[in-house]
Amino acid sequence: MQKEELLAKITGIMQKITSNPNLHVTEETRFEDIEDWDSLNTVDMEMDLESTLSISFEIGEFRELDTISALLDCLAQKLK
Amino acid sequence: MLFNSPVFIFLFLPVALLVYFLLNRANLTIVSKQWLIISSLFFYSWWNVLYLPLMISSILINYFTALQIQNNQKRKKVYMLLGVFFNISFLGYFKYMDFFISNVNAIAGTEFPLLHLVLPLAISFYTIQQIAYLIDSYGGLVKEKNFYDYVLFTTFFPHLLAGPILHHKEMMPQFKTTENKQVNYHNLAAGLFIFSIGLFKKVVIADTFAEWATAGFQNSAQLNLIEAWATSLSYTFQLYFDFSGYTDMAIGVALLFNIKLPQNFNSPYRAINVIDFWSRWHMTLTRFLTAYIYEPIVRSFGKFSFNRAMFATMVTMLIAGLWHGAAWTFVIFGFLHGFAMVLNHYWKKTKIKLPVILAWFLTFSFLNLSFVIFRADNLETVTNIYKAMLGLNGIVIPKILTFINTSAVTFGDVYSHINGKAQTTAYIILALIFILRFPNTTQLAKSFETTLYNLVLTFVFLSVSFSMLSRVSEFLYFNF
Repeated sequence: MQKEELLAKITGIMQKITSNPNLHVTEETRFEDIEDWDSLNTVDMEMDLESTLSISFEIGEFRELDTISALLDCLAQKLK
Repeated sequence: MLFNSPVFIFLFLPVALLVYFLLNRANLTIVSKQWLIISSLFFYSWWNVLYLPLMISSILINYFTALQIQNNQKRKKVYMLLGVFFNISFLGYFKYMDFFISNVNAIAGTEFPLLHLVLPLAISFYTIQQIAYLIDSYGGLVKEKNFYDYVLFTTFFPHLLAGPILHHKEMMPQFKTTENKQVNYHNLAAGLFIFSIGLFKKVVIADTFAEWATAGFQNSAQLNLIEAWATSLSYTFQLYFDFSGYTDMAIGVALLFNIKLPQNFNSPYRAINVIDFWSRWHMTLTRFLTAYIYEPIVRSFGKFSFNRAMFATMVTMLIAGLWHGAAWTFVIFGFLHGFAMVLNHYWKKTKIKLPVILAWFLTFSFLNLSFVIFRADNLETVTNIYKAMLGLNGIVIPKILTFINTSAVTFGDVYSHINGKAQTTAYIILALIFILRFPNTTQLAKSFETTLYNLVLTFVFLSVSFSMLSRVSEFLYFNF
């Protein structure tokens, strides 16, 4: 899967979670910079990505990713 | 050994630091690590050498279990579960056994004798740090196997007694980096600056509030309205300045050795809701609880659902409460915070935003009230203080205000039951301004430069603190 395609998927999931269809994310976006982003959103997103992409994260792995760029790298590894 | 004791500041720390860099200069890298480990074990034993074998056993068992997990793919799950079970039992025996026995006795009417074990220092901290290490080994997230690095990661004296709770990923590489083994004068200056802030926060601010808070909780039945509020606010400030002061000192001391510890506080009393508070308060504990308890519970349901996540929040916060101590007051504290977080999540769904000042006021008031439960030895004290805070125990105001001609209040010495003085009110207002308006230590450290201004500031913080070192007191989080 191409990076752009992954980024689009991530954006879609995050828009759904935050109920904000206008949310725009880039590779540089930090999760902590997204307004009202919290642990609940993190685990929601983690589980959504797991089912959408048929992958699995180890305990604590997802939480260590602080930017979209780090998430993309991690996903690229898992989708190899 | 306490960070705020002369023996640490004037003897232990300079010797540990000097020998460490001399050994590294002579290219004795492994010996320098061994030196830091020995120094750390000595630092730990200063309090009570009897608990040293316990900590060493825990470290050895965890290290070799982690090795088995990493090397034995077929049985790694068994080893991980055994390791986690060992750690929970280890902590359970020393921390919760008497609590468990006394509850069994109360419910079943039995008379099993209590063990009266003294809580081994730092056990709650080094145990959960190692649980995380085992789980990460199981998940393949641990790449390091070096024995000395592992022991140093667990025992490194700046964080050993009360955190920050470390993650191997952020520590192990730092012990390996060559440039970290040479004296870095910027880090020495910055480390001393951060240490001086922490020492000041502990010795000058926290210990001043401690006097009023301790007296207030001791005399809870006699408190008037103003005394009760001063007691609760004094403890709220004592807790923050004590624990964040300790953390600053830990971060500062580690930086002298060129080791960067993670941030643990981010101006928590500026939080505008409870979720926000836990992302700013004892951040490394929150990180642990979220990654290793909250998330696994939510994920164990298979499919994400809001209500299940709320259930996980409650369970996690109950565990968080109990982690602080073996008493029902801590369970209630955890329950209240869990409940508040659940309410907070439901509120967020409504998308209604409160004015920031109102949101802050509600959050801070909730925290202040919940810390009464956190501090109190029993529920009777909690009831006494809450009653007095509602004015049910009488209202006393200063004699200077006698022109207010009313029979609803008594005129007299406002702070007599908490050993307070006229300055108590001023201190509380100053502390409030300080936590709301001043940059926190992490922000100051980020912009730190070796200027004359910072040198003078460090000197002032240190000298004022040194002049008050005679009233050395323990840190609150040593009890957890």
